[in-house]
Amino acid sequence: MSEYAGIRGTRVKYLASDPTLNTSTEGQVWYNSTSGTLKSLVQIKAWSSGGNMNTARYHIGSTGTQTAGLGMGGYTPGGVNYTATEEYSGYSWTTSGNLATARFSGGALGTQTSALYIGGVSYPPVVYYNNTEEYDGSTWTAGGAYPASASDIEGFGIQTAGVAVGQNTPSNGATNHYNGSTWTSSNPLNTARNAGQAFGIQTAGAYAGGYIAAATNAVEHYNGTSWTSVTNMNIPRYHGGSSKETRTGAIVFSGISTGPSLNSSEEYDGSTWVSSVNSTIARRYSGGAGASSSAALAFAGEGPPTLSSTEEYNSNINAITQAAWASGGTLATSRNRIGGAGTQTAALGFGGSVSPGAGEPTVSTATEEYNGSSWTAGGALGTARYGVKGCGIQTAGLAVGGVINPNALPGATRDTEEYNGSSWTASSDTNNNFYLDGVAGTQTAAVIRSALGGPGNYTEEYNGATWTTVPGTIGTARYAGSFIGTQTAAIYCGGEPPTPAGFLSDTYDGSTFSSAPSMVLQFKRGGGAGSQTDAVVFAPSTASVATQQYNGISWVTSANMASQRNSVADSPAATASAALAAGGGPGVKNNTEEFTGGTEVATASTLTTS
Amino acid sequence: MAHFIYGVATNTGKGFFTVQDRQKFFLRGYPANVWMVGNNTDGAMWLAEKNGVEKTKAEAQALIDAEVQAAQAAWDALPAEQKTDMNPRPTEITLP
Repeated sequence: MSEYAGIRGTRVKYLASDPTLNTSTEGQVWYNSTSGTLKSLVQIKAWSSGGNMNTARYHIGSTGTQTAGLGMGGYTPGGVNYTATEEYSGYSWTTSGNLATARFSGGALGTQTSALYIGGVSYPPVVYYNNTEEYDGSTWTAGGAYPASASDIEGFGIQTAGVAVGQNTPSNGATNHYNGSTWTSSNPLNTARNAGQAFGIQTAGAYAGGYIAAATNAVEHYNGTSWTSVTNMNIPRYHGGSSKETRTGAIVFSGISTGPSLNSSEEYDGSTWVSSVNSTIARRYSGGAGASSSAALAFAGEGPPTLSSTEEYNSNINAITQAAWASGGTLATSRNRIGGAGTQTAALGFGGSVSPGAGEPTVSTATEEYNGSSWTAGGALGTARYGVKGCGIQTAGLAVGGVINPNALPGATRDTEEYNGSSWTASSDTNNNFYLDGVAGTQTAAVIRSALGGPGNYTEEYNGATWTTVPGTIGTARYAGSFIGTQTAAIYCGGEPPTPAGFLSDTYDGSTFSSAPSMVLQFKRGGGAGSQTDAVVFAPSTASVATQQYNGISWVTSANMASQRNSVADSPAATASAALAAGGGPGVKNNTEEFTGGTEVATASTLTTS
Repeated sequence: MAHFIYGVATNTGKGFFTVQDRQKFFLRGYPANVWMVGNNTDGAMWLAEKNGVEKTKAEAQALIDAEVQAAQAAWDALPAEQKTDMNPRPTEITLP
């Protein structure tokens, strides 16, 4: 019988507790004497479904990463050649600018914002192309002509240092470099072939598999000048997909070997091929993308039939828990456009409209306190209003603005009230009218902004006693966005008018607004929580179930709410991983939903004999 | 007891099957929106939650056959220059 020490050259460690779990621990086996279990930290590898493409097709061009993928061109039976380009966000595909020339089986390289599409073919009649088109993230423009009119080209590298390799008509291993404007020839593959899987950069590339009268498993490395044969793949394949950006951590998948389309995949570390888990859907002529073997993307292709589906490949040591919304307690009074403050387990809901519709809402003074499971009555607001927004915590909350008289514009109030955990006390008015405008910060250091009632671009700060208009103006004046964070480090999200303001986000540092990345979905009059670099927003006025999260770098969509709603009481003092949405519309709601953010935690597996 | 459950369900995209699903039960997709899932509670619950319609193995095989035959007919209609060894005719798929 094989023994661990004989295989690994070391004994199993005897530990009272699990060691620190990280990539250096991956693959180790130890005995946890406290739990009495044999444990290991192993890679979790799996394919899961991604968003479907808008246009099913095969022989699609592809490049990019799992969260910024790009697919272009393609073909479907009946002689349909595509110019269509789609971008993948990690969640869904969005159509973008079309290629100038409809074709398929061309080569692609680069990123979602700086790509190339090279050569290709269209049918009927069969026409081969030498066109190169350059993509800037929205539009394709003509680039330098490729040295041959050919299809089944593979690309890797970037737009200004790209490599195109292999082609048919006739099959050969021609290799060419692109410098951003023109192509120059380099040394060909040692074994002439085409339709393989290529990845890496111009000075460290790889070409795996391909077709030479049959599928091959041959692999060659490229050093920027010449190709060298290296270790073969396990399974011969061509017309498959691969990750794109590096050859020292790559994965190839899908394609044709013999017989039906493949669902197998292999990981490559730059020297050794290791079989990985099968994808759920077998496909060939598919698109592929990915930065590495840790996160790749397979999309479109032919099963048969012609596919629009996407699968995401992930390999890491973390156990992933998806974000989710769960039901919470019920408000005693159903209300729309209700104010909120506090956290998920110590929140406030106050004011709002208790009658449905936009005609003549009946405004409320009611306040309710939430303890993480149920709502109980709190002290009444001094001024009944709806569209009031809040910040701070349950025992030190702030209510700002809103509308008292819906039949008179401006019917908005400038009233500010402070809550001490049991009752509200009037404070000084804001200098401008605010309605459903997000307020960030605390009871003693808050900030609010909008442009309600005209072209103004008002930002005001509160010091616990008075409001001061500050000079900071936002790049695109708008109102009814969410303001998340502190008085000196906040992010203003979305707003009206919807286009383009609904997609915008801007950071605020206490004096200046700066443009931040665009949101995935339009957003206004919604709820939010978190900080400038870790935010969540939900329940926009379009009464959507959509949730969006920001990590300081980009916005992504997150778990959907159970029911569509808008203008909720939120929890602005909560973290982005523990938010609250209560009441709101359409109509008047009294139910609550609680948001728990997703997690990725390195998790040891218990080894058993079963 | 059969090892697998067969069903038809529309792939709705992101979240249709997750990493956790793939870790809990066997899942494989076939033409015609046919899904073969492990015959256990997790697999059955997944198919039900996806509004799947359970099929017998023979019914599932018939759906796949029809889809493959349609793809083969499309391939047969291609001009001779497109019917290369490199672009093989779609082959029959047999459910395990």
